[in-house]
Amino acid sequence: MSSETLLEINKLKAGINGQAILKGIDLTVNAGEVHAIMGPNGSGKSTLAQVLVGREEYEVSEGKVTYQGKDLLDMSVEDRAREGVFLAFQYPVEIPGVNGTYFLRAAYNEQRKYRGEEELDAVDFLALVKEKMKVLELPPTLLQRPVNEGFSGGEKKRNEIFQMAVLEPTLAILDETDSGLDIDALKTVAEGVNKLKNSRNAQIVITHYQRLLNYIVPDFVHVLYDGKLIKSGGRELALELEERGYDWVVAEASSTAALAS
Amino acid sequence: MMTHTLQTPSDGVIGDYVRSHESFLKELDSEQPSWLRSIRSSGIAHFSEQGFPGTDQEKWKYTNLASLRKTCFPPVAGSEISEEQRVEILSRIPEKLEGERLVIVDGVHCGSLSERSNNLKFQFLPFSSMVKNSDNRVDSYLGRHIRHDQNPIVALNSAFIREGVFLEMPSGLQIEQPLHIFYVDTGKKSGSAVHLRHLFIAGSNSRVEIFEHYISLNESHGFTNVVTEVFVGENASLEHIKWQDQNRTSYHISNLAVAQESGSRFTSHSISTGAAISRNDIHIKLVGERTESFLYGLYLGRGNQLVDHHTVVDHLKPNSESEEIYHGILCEKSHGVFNGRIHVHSEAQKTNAKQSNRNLLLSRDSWIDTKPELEIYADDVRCTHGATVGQMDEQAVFYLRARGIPEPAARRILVGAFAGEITQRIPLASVRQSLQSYLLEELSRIPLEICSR
Ligand SMILES: Nc1ncnc2c1ncn2[C@@H]1O[C@H](COP(=O)(O)OP(=O)(O)OP(=O)(O)O)[C@@H](O)[C@H]1O
Ligand SMILES: [Mg+2]
Repeated sequence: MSSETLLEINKLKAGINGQAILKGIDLTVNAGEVHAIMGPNGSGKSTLAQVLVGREEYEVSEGKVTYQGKDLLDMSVEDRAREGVFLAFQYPVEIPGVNGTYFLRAAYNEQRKYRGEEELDAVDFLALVKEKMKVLELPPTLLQRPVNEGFSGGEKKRNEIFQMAVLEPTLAILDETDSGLDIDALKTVAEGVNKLKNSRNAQIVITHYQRLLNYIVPDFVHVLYDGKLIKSGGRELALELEERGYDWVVAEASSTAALAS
Repeated sequence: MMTHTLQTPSDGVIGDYVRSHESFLKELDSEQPSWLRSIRSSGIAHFSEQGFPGTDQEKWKYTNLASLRKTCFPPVAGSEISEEQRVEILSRIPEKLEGERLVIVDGVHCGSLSERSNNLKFQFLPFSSMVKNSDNRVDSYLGRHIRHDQNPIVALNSAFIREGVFLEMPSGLQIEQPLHIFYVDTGKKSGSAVHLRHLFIAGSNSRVEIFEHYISLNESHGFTNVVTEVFVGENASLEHIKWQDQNRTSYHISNLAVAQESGSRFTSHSISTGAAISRNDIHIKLVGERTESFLYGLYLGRGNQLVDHHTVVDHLKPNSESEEIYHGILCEKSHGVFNGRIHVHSEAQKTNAKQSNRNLLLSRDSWIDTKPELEIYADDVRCTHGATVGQMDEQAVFYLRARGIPEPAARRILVGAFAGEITQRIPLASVRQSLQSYLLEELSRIPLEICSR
C-alpha cells in the first residue's frame, strides 16, 4: 500500500550561532504513520521539532523540507500551524493573563479562517471543548486559568495534547510529552493521541522511554545521534534500545561510516 | 485661615497668573463667601512665591513642566455646548453605566448632561451650587489633608477654586450604584486651565464607588489641575476609579490625598491613557489601625507622552495592609515615571506593605524611570517591593504563533493580558469593558516593535 507522503526531510542541516546541531537529516513520513524518534540528551531531537515549526533562532544551512508538496521552510510560523503542523512543546510556555479558553478559541478560529470556514462562536466552541475534555480527562478549571500558568508539569503536557485534540493537526510532533506524566496520565494521553490518529494524518513522537510506545505504537523508530539519524527500525528497536542503551547503535554506525570512507 | 496681601504683581508668567487671578475674582464677586475668599487669596500668594516646580526638585526630576512655565493658562468658565457635542459627550459614557452622574464641561457643572435623582440619602453635589446656596460644609474639610503651602500646584488650584464635586456619605449608608464624575474639555478655549477641587467624605461604615473620567473633545491645548481630598471613616469602604483620557496635547496634573480611619478600606484604580504630560500624585495616610489600601495603576504611553505617577503610603498606626500594583505599557517615544514610597512610622508595627511596578517597553525609544522608596521605622513589619522593566516575552509570542495566531494579534493578546491584570480589578463591568475595548483598539494602531537592547 502506498500512501500519500506528508513530510519529506532532505539533508537538513541546522544550527544556532554558527554551531551545527542538525547535521544532515533525511526522513519521510507518510499519511497514517507514526514515527518515534529516540536519542540521547542533546542529540538534536527538540531542535528538529523546532525547525519544523519554524523557530527563527535556528539557521537552516542546507537541505529541504517538503510538507504536503509545499516548501515548509518557506512558510511563516503561523502558516505552518494553519496548514496543520502542530508541536506539543517539551517545555510549554506560561502565558500570564491570557485565559486558556480564549487563547484556544483564537487559535482554532484562525485556522478556520485560513481554510475559509466560518468562525465558531463562544457557545459552540465551549461545546467542542467539553467533548474533547472528556476524552483527555482534563479538569475543566485548567481552561479557565491563564494558559499554563502555575500548571504542574503533567498538567502542562496534558494541556498540549488537549490543544492537539481541538486543533486536529495533520502532522503532530510530540516532544517528550510522556516525561513528567504519571502512569495513569500517560495512558489517558496516549489514548487521546490514538483517537486522533487516522489515515490522513501522521505523528512524530519524540521520547526517551519505550514505555510510551507500548501505548502509542510506532510504525518506525529512529535513533538521532549527534545531529544525524543513525539507525531506523520497527517498534522492536525501541525495546532493544531500552535494554542495551545507545552505545551499540553508535558503534555500529561509526563502523559503517568507517567502511564507507 | 490667614489672609495674604499681595505685593505688586511680579513679571513673567507668575505675574500673568496674578493678573489673571485678579480678573477671575472680579468676575466672581457674588459667589465669594469669606472662607472661599481667603483660600483663593492664600492660594495665589503661595503659588506666586513658589511658581511651578523645576527639575532640580527630586520629585520633579523626570517631569519637566517647562511648557507650563512658559505661558499663563487662564481659567475657563464653562461653555455652551452644541447638539453635536452633546451627542458626542453622551457617546463617551461607558455603556450600561447607570446611576448618579455629574458632568463638568470646561470647568463648570453642566446640569443638562448630569443625571441626578431627588431625595438621595447622601450628598453628591457640584461645588458651585453649594457655594450658591451658602452651604459651607466644604470649609471644614478643605485643605485638611493637602496643604497648598507645600505644593504650588495645589496652591494654584486653591487660587482658582470654583468647581468640583462634594460627596458626603452618611454613616452606615452603603450604596451599590457607582457615582460617576465626568469631566469634558471641549477645547473651545485653547491654552486655558481648569482647576477642579473634589471632596469625598465617607462616614463610618459607609460604602461607595466613584468613577472619575476625564476626556477631551478635540486636540486643543489645555491644562487640567485636579485636587481631590478623601476622608474614609471608620470601617468605611471607598473605591475610586480614575481614568484620565484627555487629548495628547494637554497637561493633566492631579493630587489625590486620602486619610483612612481605623478598619477602613480604600481602593484606587488610576488609569492614565491621555495627556501630553500627566502627573498623578497619590498620598494615602493611614491614620487609623487595621486599614486596607489597594493602589492599582495602568498607564499607556504612545507618541511623545509622559506619564508620571508618584505615590506615598504613610503607615502611621499598627496592623495595616497596603498593596500597590502598577503596570506600564510604553510605546513609540513615550516616557513613564513611577515613584512609589512606603513610609512605615515607628508606631506602625505589624504593617504588611507590598508594592510592584512592571513595565513593558514596546519600542527602542520608549523609557521608564521607576523607583521604589521604602522608609521603615518599625521593626515588626513585612514589606516587599519589586520593579521590572522588560520587553514582550518572545517565547510566548512564538507559542501563540505556533498555534496559528498571526504575530501582530499575538503581540496584542500579550499586551492586552498585561493590561488586563490591572483592568480586571475594576469592579464596574461597564467601565472595565469600555476600557478594555479602548485598549484593544489603541493597541491595534500602534506598531508593537520587537526590540532587543
Ligand atoms: N537555543 C539554543 N542555544 C544554544 N544551544 C542550543 C540551543 N538549542 C539547542 N542547543 C544545543 O543543541 C543541542 C541539541 O539540543 P536539543 O534540545 O535539540 O536536544 P534534545 O535531543 O532535544 O535533548 P533532550 O533529550 O535533553 O531534550 C544541545 O547541545 C543544545 O545545547
Ligand atoms: Mg529535547
